[in-house]
Amino acid sequence: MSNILRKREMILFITGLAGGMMMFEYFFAVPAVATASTIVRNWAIIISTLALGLGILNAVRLHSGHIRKRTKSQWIFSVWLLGYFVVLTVIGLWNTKFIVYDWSFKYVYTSLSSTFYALTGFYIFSAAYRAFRARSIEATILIVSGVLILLRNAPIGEAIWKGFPILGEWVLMVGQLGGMRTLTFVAAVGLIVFGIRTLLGLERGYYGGVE
Amino acid sequence: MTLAKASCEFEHEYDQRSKRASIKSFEIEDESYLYAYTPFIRLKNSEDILLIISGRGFSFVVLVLMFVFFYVALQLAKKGKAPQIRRITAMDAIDEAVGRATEEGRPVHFTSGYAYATLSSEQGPQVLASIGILSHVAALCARFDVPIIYNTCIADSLPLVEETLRAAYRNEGKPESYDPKSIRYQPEQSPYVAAVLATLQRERPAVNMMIGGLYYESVVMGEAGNMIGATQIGGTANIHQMPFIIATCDYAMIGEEIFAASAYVTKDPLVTSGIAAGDWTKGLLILLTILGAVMELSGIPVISQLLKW
Repeated sequence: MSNILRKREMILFITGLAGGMMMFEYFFAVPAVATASTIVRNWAIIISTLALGLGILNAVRLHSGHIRKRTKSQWIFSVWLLGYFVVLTVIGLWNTKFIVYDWSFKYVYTSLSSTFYALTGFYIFSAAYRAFRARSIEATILIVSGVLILLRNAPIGEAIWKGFPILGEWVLMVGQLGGMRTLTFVAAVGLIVFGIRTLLGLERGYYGGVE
Repeated sequence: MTLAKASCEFEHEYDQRSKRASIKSFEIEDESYLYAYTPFIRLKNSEDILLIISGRGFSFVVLVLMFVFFYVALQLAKKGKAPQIRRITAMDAIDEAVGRATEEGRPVHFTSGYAYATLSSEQGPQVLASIGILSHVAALCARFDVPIIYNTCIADSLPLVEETLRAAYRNEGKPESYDPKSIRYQPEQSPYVAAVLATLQRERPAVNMMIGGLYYESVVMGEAGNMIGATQIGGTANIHQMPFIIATCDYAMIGEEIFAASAYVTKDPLVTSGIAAGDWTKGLLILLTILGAVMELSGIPVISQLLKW
């Protein structure tokens, strides 16, 4: 049975059926198909949730390996990760309102996450420095546009010359908007073509190279 | 009973015996929501059922046309007249980058981005496209005995990635070289980004590939890759992250290129003909846009009416 399910033809059949059903539901108002599509979508959610178990297995396998091999600069963090995982799982199964569970999520995880996100500012700064080195015509256009946006947003721009905010506004609302919309349009068509290739079985990314 | 308050309100009566609902009144603030609720509205009376949902007729025609273009391109490819597609520099650079990793004896790092941590999100196709590219990269790594590291926070992509890497090593005749521990899962975005930074700092890969549904991690991972001097290949269809990919990567795939890339690497005319079909569709839509603008300015709103069909 598992061999049949792993066959390429079976994967293509399931993909075609599910994809075709979703497409049909989007365009046509047929209640029976709408109901069937909702059921299939619910299955997808359930399967995705079950996949979390695979994630846990992957993490446990990886980090227990680090602990066993005493991997340099890593194993101690693996001990911490697995230990914390066990503690939180036990507490979570017992009572999610327990202070340790709630506290560690609210005041440890959320704070660390926010800190990490805030680091992005520094990375953007160094990325901007790299991008803004005027080595070509394109980079020069980029730096001029960037400076105009900067002078539009910073009060000093208007203080220097009243035209800076107007020029910055033009770059933002006309110059870049056209480019952005073009990219959106092109990406959308590319996505649809990718979907058709997938439905026709010409794409292989989604079935992991099964023969 | 009110089902939704934000932008659409409708009341319905539920008959316990027949287990059917009928709509009593319907009120809507935003017209775009009308299309989303149309399938339910049509349930009121059987004679109200329309074959094509209002507002989606033109999209349907375009989709059918795309299938036709696809068929024509496929037939041309079968006759040996495959439409030419342009080169994707970033994809051509992959071979060179893996070659560099071989010479330096350092690993290759690949990641598909945060993508809302599930394949079921709207970012899912980007992740699937990146797994198609991963298949090509893994085959090269297997051929040249270069270790590959794959970091992800997308749990439901794990079976696909495992199977992709296993198949790549098997196809290169080295199934024993496949290491399941080369796939590393971390739940959620921040732990995932932290793990990627740790991988880049500790294991110093020669190549860092970030292709898929990237969010703020694009600039963080891109800069971290630059700090260790890795060759960087990036790609995303997320417009808000494209500037960071272009600024931090040596080679960038923007927009649709990541969707075309997995077909591009196959070099199979039957597969790449689909890319040409997409280009024909784009040509048609650009033509319609120009025609629509001219007709609208001339006071003939035929195209704009057609779009609302």
